[in-house]
Amino acid sequence: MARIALTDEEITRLQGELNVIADSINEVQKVAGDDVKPTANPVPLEAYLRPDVAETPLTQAEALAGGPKTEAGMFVAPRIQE
Amino acid sequence: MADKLMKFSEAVKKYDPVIGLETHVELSTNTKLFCPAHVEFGGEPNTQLTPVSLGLPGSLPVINKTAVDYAIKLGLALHCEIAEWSQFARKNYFYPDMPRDYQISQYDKPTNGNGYLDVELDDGSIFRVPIERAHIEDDAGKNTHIGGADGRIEGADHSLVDYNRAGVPLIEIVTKPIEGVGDRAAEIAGAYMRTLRDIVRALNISHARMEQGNMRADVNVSLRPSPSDPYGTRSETKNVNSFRGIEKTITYEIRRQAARLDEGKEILQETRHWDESTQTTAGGRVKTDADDYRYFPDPDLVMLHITKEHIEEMKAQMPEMPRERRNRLKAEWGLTDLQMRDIINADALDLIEETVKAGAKAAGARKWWLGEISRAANAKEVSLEELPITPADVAEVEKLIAAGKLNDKLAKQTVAGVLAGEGTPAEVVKKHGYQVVEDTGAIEKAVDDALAANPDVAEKLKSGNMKPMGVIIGAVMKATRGQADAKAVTKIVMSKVKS
Amino acid sequence: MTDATELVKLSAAEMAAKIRNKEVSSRELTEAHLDVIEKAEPSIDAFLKVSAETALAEADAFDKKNAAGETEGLPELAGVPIAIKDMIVTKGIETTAASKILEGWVPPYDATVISKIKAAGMPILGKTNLDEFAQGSSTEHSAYKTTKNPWNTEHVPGGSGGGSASAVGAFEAPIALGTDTGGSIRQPGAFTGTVGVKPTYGGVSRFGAIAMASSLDQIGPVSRTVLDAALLHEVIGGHDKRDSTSIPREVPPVVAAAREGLKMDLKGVKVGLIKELGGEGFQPDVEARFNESVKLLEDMGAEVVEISCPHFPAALGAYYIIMPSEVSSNLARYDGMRYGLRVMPPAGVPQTAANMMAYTREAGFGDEVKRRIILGTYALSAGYYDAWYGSAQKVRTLIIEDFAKAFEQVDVLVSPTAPTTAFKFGEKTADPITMYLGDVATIPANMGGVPAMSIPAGLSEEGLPVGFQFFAPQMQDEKMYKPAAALEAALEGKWGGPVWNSLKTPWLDEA
Repeated sequence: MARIALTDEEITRLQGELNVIADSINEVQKVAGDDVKPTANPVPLEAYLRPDVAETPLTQAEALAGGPKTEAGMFVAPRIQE
Repeated sequence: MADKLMKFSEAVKKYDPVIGLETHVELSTNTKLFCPAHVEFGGEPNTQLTPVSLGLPGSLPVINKTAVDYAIKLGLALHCEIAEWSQFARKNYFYPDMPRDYQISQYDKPTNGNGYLDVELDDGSIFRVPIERAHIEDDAGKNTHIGGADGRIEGADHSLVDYNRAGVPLIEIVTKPIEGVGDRAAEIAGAYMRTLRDIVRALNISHARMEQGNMRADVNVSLRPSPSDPYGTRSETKNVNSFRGIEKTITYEIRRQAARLDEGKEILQETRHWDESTQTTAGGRVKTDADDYRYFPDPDLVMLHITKEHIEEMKAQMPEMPRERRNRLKAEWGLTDLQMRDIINADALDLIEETVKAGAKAAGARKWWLGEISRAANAKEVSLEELPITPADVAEVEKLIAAGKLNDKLAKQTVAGVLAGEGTPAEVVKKHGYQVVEDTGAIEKAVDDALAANPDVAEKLKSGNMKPMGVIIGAVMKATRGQADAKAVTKIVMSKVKS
Repeated sequence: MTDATELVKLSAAEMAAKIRNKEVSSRELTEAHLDVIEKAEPSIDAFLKVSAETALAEADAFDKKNAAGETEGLPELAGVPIAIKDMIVTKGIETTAASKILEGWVPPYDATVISKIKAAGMPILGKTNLDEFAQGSSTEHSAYKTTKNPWNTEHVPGGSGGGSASAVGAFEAPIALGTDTGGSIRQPGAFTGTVGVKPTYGGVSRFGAIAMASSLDQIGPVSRTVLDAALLHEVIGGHDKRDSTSIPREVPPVVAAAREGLKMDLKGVKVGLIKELGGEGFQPDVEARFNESVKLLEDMGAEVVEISCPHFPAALGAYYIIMPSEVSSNLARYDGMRYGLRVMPPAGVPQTAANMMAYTREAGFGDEVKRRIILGTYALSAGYYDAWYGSAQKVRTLIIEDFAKAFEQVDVLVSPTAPTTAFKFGEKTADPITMYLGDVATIPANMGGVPAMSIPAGLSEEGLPVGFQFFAPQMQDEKMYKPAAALEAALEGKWGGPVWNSLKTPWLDEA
């Protein structure tokens, strides 16, 4: 799901580390009672709504400049299906 | 391998179908949902981007007010509960056309929840479709597949990605499971989609053109032995982009699933695709843990607060809804229920109304759109709107008729010319030299010739038997290459035989 | 000591005054720093990229304006050069976040803070080193180089903003920008004897700050004095319509508060010692320097009380759920499609887009980043969400409440910035958990969205700097600037000058 081709050695090491972290996470679950509301954003704000007015876009050259592989004004993806 | 299918009538006798529709409507805002890039269909690739819609590092989303306005309007039209506080969430999955590899959508706190849409069926009855939610989200870019057959993803060597569409606002309207549809499952789905399309157009929040992908639906179908049983496993047919496709998908899935159930096979929970060329649905990616989208509140966006004042402001802007409008137009145009339904079924209401607005009489407008033009659309298998004729063109033809400059036959030829792409009616008329012959001398000569050539007919007419008048008119028309006005010819004949 | 050496040892405020008086030009100041950079870099390695040419062009442009008398309305720091953490996007200057996956990426746009810096006529000296994607506490996780602590080059400068902290500490730049997600400005500040400020969440625009954990990230100033930090804070702060989490308010009056603090009168100021941040796990000399500073605050008239923040012990665990969860999503975009590295799968592996992404990310991300992405991916997955992410968001609520209750009783809270002084290279890389524990005192401010800052409180027995941390209520950043400036003045009085008088700077002496 994370889309990383890990080596076996990396997987073994990560598993060990994840277990240690899981312990400190138990502490979190202890204090997080049902009566506590979750907070997604630390400062309570309501969304600013932007006026629907266009601004100058990136040029095609600017947009493509960082692309590892481009063709005909577009980004190239290797074949999508197996 | 071809699916085994049960006869439809048998399938709906044996099983109770339950359908669900998830419809994506692309909003016609000026800029994208989360950034001020202008949106336009068919621009040069990758020219409608800001750092935000290209997913550049450091870029942040900011909500477009117009998209929220549109969502509120649709929520009102669908009788939804509009949440005072709604939230955007990230739907995480990797795909080359996703600039951030997550979609910004709404999850457990959508803007619109719990509504309904009443749709009118062919027999005039009303069916209420329950709406689960109508939430706001952004679209992905577009892949062009290279190296395979017909630009398909299967067998392609690589794909080219244009992110122009990435970030375009969508509203996804999700129905609750629609129960009690029986053998009218496809009809109800079609009526629902058309009604939704009409509402969206009336609200002026989307171009709602299925063929351009402004509106597309995921079609869910499941079967159960009887209405008292729990829902069966459903199939989800993705991105069906025509009304007929949706109707056919439902019929096909009911037949396919019934045949499987009859054989004791289970229905897989899978995504399928409607294949227009084979008229079948093709399976299927079975749902796996890759479908765990790891939704969580987007920390780059704070809660969306919709105030009562905001809702009132939108309410005041609500246009007449399609059903009210139909009733009004039916009365104004003096039509019967049946005539009105023909117009609706032909998707010609807007076009006829515009034609009338452009100066034509309702009867004339209706005659053209449901007659010649509908036939042309059917022959080409396209929608009326895709034909190269506009309401203004039709109104112009009607005006020419009223002014006596075209007769029926020439008018039809003119319309045919416009449909053939020869230009406006005026241009077609000019090009072909269509003209009602007003030179009475020429007509009189033609009438004299015709009467002389058909003495028996002349006798009958003289004795007051008008039946064979057509023979004379036909001959005159032939002589004048159709450019004489039949009424004028009749008048001249009458004056001649009576003298 | 040469004139140039004296020049770079001034505070940014003093440099700015000299510019205004036309005693020195922005170009001279910029050249002096570029000169130090050239000499210091072989031993310090604070910079990933030095943008000498554009810096000088910016300096010349400012000097021209200054000569024409067109500087009215510009911030006080106008013309003073600055270094930028390479986590912040700069148009036309390569920006990598110290990751191989972004190597060679030249952004087509400026972060909002960079636009403000440019508008202020402040030349950008270059981009400073950091732990890859700001993930780490030692700058050892940079994919490019290891930055050294100017106080002892065998020790780390802290992290993730070790580059900015060392650059300012070593006089390569008078001020710098950092980003702080769990302490990445303040902990390096403590380790290098510099001042580091994390403003209120939303106080400074994040537009153009490469995201690590969006609900925790905040850009802030790095400097050698409290007043300099305040001056920079005012340049970069304020509402930005391009950041939905930006607070729609004016910058708090931090400069006025810092100047007020320099009067060293803290009568009427109530200071709370956080009971939970001290004792076990805290180095004795760190606690000793901390207590001496508290005494100085009392001497200046502050009332000091102990305050309990009972949920702080759960903050670390909650942070290590929320942070990697957001990291896993924020770093998904580095997939080899639009910018940065692309690695195709080896022969024998299907050459698909999915495999390309997997091999690109395997090759492009370092260990620590991968560790956090994997952890975050688990934490957000269907079976774990409620128990992990959901619980962590509840702890955030509890921490916000702890702060709110505390600030009903006191004006500011204080603690040591970090439990230890700078550790040696390699000492903690093998054990990520002890590295994580070092963030125990800085994380609560990020979780609670409150402003916090670290100022130097003296040296350990080993001669390494110790940091003293202030916290203030949300959107009242000025409240910490006053006692911080007062304490800084009191400490300098006690030591007979700033802490860096004790710093050996062989790279300057060579000049």
